[in-house]
Amino acid sequence: MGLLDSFFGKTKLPESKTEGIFAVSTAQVTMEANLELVSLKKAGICFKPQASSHFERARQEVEELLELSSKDTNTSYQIVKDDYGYVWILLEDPDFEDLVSNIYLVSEGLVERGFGGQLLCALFPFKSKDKKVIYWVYSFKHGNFYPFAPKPGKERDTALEFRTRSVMEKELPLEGDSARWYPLWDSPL
Amino acid sequence: MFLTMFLLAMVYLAFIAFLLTQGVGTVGIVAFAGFFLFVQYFFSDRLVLWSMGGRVVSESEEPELHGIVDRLSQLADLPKPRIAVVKSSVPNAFATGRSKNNAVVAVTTGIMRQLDRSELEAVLAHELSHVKNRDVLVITIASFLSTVAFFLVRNLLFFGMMGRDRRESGGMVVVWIVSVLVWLVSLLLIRALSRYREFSADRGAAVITGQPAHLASALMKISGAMDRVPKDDLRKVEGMNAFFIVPAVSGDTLMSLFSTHPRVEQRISRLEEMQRRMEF
Repeated sequence: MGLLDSFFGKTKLPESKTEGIFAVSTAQVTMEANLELVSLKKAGICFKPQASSHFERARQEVEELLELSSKDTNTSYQIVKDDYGYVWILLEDPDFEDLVSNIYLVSEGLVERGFGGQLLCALFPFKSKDKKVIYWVYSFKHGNFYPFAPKPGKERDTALEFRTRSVMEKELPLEGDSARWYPLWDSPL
Repeated sequence: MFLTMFLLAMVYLAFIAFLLTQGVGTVGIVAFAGFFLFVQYFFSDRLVLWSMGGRVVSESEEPELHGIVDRLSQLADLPKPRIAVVKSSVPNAFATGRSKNNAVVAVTTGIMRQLDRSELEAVLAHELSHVKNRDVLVITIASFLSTVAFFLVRNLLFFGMMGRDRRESGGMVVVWIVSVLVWLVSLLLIRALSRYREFSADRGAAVITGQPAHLASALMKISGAMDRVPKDDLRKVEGMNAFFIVPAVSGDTLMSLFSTHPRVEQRISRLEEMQRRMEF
């Protein structure tokens, strides 16, 4: 959104960048080798549904695409609505690349139908050796990744986040502004 | 509120007049006004929070508010603002802060009690739209321009009078009256601008949440509730109206020209219009 748009108060949802997501496929190998972070073989994509029949139709079409594609890749998936009114498509597949390609399919499907702005993020959970869960979050608005390591009591494991970030700097397009490392508490993943 | 504003402006004018008699020039006075507005702009987050009694809350204190704002800021591509809560039974919300990086979004405990989660989300999206639209900056610039206009007119008149007529007391009264008129006009313009920004923020909330109906139902609930809240509480918050989601004085008691906010019915009908357009 341009400066003029904001001065005239014409809010638009920023468009989404979907291409960057593939970087996580190769980064996952490094993560396992250098950080001993293992993928939980799951991933999720989250979007904000819009109350309109156009959106409902787009969503149905994308779901049909996903049904076909997931049969192809042997990926299981389910669709849930979270407490904040966002829709999550949760995928499970032992093959990490299939997870990524199905998530790309959903995101690109929404973008092609004009609803790219509704995309919030994609989530890839990993587990460290001491059983801590850390998420790599793909931010569709910026087309880059940031880490999110929740601790009990709505605290973030900042040390772990910054450590993984410094190791992954060369592998992943990273969000440089940590004010945009939006947490995702209580995600269904 | 109008009376308060009027009296405030009178005091302000008297102070300026005092400065003038002390031999401070126009440039000095505009600089002085600019300085005050700059301070107001630069410290808006702290000033507004302090005057409202708002307290910034952490994620563990208000997980629901944070959860909603985290997601909305990511959708709208804004850095996450601080979140504050005001202990007040008046259902309201406001946003302040000079820039996206200094923004604070605040809600009262009253609004949290009365709205359900989706309505609260719509209200927060409205406030985030104010942040996104840089409304604190826009209103500050407008106020500064109106101050400058005011002095230009005042001085032109003042010197005109001095040249033509030496009877100072009569001249001063005219200058004073015209000053007040200019001030009135600029007030009306700023109010009109403020109403336009409100509509924009409503529109923004509808776009961000994708659900115009949620904001409409929140507005309906709040404005309905406004009438039932004791007046004492209302008077306390009157000064902050420009930052509120629904002004604390109901639209019918004031001339709509002077109102910072459009009437709730008008806002709701625009939201319904948006909902209709989304279907085509």
